[in-house]
Amino acid sequence: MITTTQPATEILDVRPVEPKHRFETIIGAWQGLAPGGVLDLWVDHDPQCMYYTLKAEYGDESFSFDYLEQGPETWRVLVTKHKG
Amino acid sequence: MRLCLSSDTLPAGSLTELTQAARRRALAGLELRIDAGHRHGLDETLCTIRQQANIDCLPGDHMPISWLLLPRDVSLVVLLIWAGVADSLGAGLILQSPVSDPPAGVKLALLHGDDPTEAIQAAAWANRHNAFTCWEVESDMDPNSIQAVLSQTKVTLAHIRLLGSGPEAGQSTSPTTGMLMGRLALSGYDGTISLAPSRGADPDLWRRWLFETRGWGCGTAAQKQARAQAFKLSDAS
Amino acid sequence: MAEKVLDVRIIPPRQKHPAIFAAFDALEAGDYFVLVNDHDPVPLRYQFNFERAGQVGWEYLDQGPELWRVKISKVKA
Repeated sequence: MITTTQPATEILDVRPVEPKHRFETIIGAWQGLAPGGVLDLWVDHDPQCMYYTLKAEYGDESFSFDYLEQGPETWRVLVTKHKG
Repeated sequence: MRLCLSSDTLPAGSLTELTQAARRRALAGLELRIDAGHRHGLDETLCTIRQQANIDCLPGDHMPISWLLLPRDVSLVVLLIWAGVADSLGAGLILQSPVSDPPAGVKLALLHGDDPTEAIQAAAWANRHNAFTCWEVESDMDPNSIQAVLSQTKVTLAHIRLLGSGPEAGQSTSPTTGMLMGRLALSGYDGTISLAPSRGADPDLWRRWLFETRGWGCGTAAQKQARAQAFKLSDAS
Repeated sequence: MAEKVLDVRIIPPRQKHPAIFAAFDALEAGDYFVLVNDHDPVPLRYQFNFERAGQVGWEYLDQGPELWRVKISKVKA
């Protein structure tokens, strides 16, 4: 019997977090994700810079970055940590 | 550019509290409104003896006082008194209306708003009297007005009051603040900018931001090292 | 002219990077501005690295604990 499960999804809304602490909050959540896990990221600006950060520090192949919402008030991105 | 804290953000605050709040945010100075509703200790009464006593009693380690914001339509006598106070504090004076014979020896800045015509008049007064201008900007101002005002005051501008900044900044949908700061930087602006509330702002919101919320830090040592290796920026130095 | 300084602490998050990139793009080659922030602007550096590759000089003048100052220069061609 094959069972499929939804990837574990962590909702992370950094909008109430002070700008000074947002980067470490997001990176900390990313590091805590299990392979295959998903970060459901809510931000009040385009988190393009986080895309570049993950790309530079973890490599293109380690994640996917899928926009569900692109402003003008709210950006929502599903950041998936690839397995392997 | 140097950031300051206006006593408008905390009218009931003592100079010690204002200093604590400004230090928490690593700001460079204070702008104090001279008004009966403000408790920073620079008394609005005209008695020079009492005024000097108040100044002598100011806590010795207070944050530098960059500006005193005077009430509207001060008489020349009152202006002279505050000029003396400002001089002893190393502060400038912000005037809300022009005076025909301003005292020498103290830095004066005439307040104006977003109307370019008002800015032209303020700059003309400042140029006539070897003084400066102070621009009171609402953070939801039409950004198209930025260049119109800056072009009139680029020589005279010494202080900006940014209304609706601090904890209110994230609430605005106008791109004004970002555009303004960029233009100021490119023009080499080396004056002060005070954080001030918008009209009708929630004083509790400001109090929490000044004293309770942390920050406006990044990673472990290993991550920093990995980061250094990841960077391939050309060295321009 | 005085040094160009851009203190981004008071810029709303949504406007911050657009304001920084607009200021950078307006620089003459060889010129610079000093960015002032209350934390290390690491994601910004990565964004410059990818979106303005080869054009940006990045030099820390101060690294906290309260303020970070970074000299961001436009490289001469």
